[in-house]
Amino acid sequence: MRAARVSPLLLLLLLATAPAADAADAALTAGPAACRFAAPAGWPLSNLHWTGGCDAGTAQGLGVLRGMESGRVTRVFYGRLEAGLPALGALEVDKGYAAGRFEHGKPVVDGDRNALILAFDAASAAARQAADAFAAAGNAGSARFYRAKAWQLAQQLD
Amino acid sequence: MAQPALAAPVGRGAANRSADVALVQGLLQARGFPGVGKVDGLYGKDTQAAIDAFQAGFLRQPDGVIDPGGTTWRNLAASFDGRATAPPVDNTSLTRPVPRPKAGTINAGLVSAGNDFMQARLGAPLLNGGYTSLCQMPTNPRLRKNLVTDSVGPFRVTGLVPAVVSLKAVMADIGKDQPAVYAALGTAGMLCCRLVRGSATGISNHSWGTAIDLTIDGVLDAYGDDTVQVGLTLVAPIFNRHGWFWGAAFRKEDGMHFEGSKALVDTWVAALL
Repeated sequence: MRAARVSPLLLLLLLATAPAADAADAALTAGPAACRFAAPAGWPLSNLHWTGGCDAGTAQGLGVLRGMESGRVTRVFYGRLEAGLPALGALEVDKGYAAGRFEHGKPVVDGDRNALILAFDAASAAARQAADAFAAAGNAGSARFYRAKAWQLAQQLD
Repeated sequence: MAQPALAAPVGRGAANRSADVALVQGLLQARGFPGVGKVDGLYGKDTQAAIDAFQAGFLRQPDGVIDPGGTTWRNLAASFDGRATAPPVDNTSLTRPVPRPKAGTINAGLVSAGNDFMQARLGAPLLNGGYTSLCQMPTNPRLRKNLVTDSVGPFRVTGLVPAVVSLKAVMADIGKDQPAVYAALGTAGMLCCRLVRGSATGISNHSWGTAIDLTIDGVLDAYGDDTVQVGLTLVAPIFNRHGWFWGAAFRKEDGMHFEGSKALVDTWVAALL
């Protein structure tokens, strides 16, 4: 049987127009080779930026994960990645937050208020860390934004 | 509170009678749409923009017109007299933020129950102190004896028995009046003995199991940004009707928070074992 041949041009076209795979199904496919990570569920795989620590080739520790579209930040995760996977923190949704311990790229919804408290603690610490990094780099505007965000995340649960 | 009446349509291409326009302007102001401008009965672009913005909270295709008895009118007029009767139709996103309602337009006749009031009525939740930033179970025997874990409809909670019973009634009404919101409701917790954020002495009102934080589609309304999820504006009048105080009116907006008002807590205390 003769194998079907696909022209390189058609292959490129197919790849370019294929829908983006769900990030949660494709672990550690985002980010530079020195600091790979998996994005939260439902996020696209491209234009993702991690501002945080890296260890042994994967994103690790507190940080801010941003998804960009057309030069604008459209998705944000504040919190902790472990071995490149979202572990604890808060996603910004409609100016609100979906937060908690993360499994399969999504926050676990189990009504555990202590898990939410710890998630917002981690999210706030991540935003504060980002503010410090921007301040050290001389970007006062971004530093101010992330400090305000850190305050809000810290106050979220009374 | 008597329900106001709209005599003729208001909005794009409508009759726009002065008295009707003034009525709509006042209600939009009360619903947190200050862009509507002065309540002067004059229809103009600011009034229209506010109508469009209000409809965008629950209509997939806003038409910019408020008809007497129509969906937009029912949501606009009914919400703030606590008698919402119609669910928003074709709701796009119930988590969409809208400006928090103006002071005086919510929590009518209700007073928030502060720390001193709660301590006086129900005692210290932790008898020997030791509050931290994390939730603990109460050690106060009277409080413990009156706690229950139960479903209130869309989710399960642990709280003070009469508060949970009241919450069931609130949720039953939400299920009838705002089924789309009911289906999306969840909770970020009810009972939780802990310190208020940033305080070494203030105790959270969740410590007595008389307050609850709501989520919509799993999303918590952001604290202190002066906006609230549109879905919360649709259920707040129902909470108010049952005597629950909405945290959107706190000095720092806390839109996801509802708690028993002083008068309601007093009735609960009287019902305790």
